[in-house]
Amino acid sequence: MDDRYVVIGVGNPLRGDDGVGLRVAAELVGRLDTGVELTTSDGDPGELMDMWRDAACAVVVDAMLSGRDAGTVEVFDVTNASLPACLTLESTHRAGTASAVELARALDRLPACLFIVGVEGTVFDLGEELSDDVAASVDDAVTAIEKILAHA
Amino acid sequence: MSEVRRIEVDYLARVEGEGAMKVMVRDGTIEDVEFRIFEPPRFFEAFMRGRRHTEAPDITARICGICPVAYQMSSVHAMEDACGVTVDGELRRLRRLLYCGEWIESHVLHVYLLHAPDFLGYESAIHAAADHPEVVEQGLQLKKVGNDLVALLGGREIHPINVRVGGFYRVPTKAELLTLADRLDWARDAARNTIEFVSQLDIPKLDQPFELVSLRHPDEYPFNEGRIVSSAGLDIDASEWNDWFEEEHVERSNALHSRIKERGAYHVGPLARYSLNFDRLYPSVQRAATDAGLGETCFNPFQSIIVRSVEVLQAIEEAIQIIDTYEPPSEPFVPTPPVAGIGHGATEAPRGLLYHRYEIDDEGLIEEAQIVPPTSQNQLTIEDDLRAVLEDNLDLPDDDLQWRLEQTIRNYDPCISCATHFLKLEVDRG
Repeated sequence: MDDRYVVIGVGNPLRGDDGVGLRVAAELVGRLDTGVELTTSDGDPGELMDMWRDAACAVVVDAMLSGRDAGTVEVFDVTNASLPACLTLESTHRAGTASAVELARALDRLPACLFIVGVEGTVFDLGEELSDDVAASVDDAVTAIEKILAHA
Repeated sequence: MSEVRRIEVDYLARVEGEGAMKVMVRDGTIEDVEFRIFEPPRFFEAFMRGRRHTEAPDITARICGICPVAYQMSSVHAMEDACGVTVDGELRRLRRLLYCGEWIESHVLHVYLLHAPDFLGYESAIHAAADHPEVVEQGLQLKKVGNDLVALLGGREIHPINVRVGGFYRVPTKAELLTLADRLDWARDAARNTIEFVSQLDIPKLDQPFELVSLRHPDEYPFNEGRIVSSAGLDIDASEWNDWFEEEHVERSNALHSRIKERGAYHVGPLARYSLNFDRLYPSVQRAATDAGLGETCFNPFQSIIVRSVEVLQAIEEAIQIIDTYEPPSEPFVPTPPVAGIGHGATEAPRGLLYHRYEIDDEGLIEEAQIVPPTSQNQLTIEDDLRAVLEDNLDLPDDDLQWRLEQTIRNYDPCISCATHFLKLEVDRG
């Protein structure tokens, strides 16, 4: 294990609020300490596991659909616990972040610590724009990630 | 009082897209079998009208995130057919190399993460990974080799952007291809391990009287070119597709059902390719197949997991050969000025034959488009398989029977999102 830190923005830029993880990553450009890697992913479990391989700390920011108020930012420490059941709903089109976490847990490929920063989305239609509530929460998500890294 | 058994699965798991299954058995007699596709239609053929012939590979790549290369390949071949252009030499070999990448990633995804859990008795690959981490890990690494091959040639893993009518926007250097050489050598061993692993699974017996349909080429295992042949003697050029095949909309599916005219259901995919082209496999791959217990033909859809694994080895062997002898072509593409007319393209997507037909005008604008994906072609056959499996397993408790029926559908690695095309949209506004 080394001192590698990585932040991964996950999402689809063409499906409304699903792109919020990528937008947060874009906001973080130039704001992270030297040595903290910043990258993006479409959420493929194999890719995520490669991205956080051997990291001392990894933070994944992704949209969530949990029934919370739109734009809610929530931090989940999944190093030793699964995401809440309401966030593990599987898509019929692809595996997502929750699957990646549990697959990594089964394969012993979790980083030393792993946080998921979820941003509650509301509009997942075709389009590159975030809904107003989600766009307004991008700064909160950035702050949440900076706090995690400050204490990691 | 009659005994009614009803098994319904509203959302099929471990398939791509939104599909459902319903069967009903009354007093031991099968009354209803439905493989339903309810994912909304996507109208690709309709909105391609008026677009340029050169846009077809980029638009059709968006049909599928798993097999975009297949859509690109069928579309470029169809457009080149319309324009009277032939792409050969290293450009043709690079196209095959790109297709190798897609077959590897798509087949490995299905074998390890979607299909193997059925045979091992796990709900998902995540559950299987807890008990068989080294197996799942091998699958993930093998899939990544395919992904990286597609990314190298296509510009990115999903919805590649480097394919154009006539060839590529940019061709790789020899050095770039050689960066994958060591991993492909590893992948060859991993593919052999995969064949051995799946051949030891407890595979249900079923012998279906399919009419198998695939491409057949004089020299090669089929990817991009060949005549369309069948186990019942069909042997036609792609341009004759609509003379022999027909599509029909049925209420239970947003994917058109295909049938051979006056004959009915048929089967496309790995079993068809393998059985109609065993003699086109490399000798080393033939040996691996027979060592795994396969004959020269295969009519048991539950063995598709073995055949897919054999095709992974074939694709890796071919990729190694292409890279080994590669010399970059002088130009990345052949010019394809538009010629008014009709073009046909048929290539072998991982899930089976994928037919495209385009009519373009003298400016290259698309006037008509027809896309026939493999999953839509297999729908009737999937329902036939469900009936056969039901008949053989009526003594199973409902839970076990449902498991077996879902496994029966997953034998086809159905890509439902690909299948939901409508050729015609009719709106009756009264």
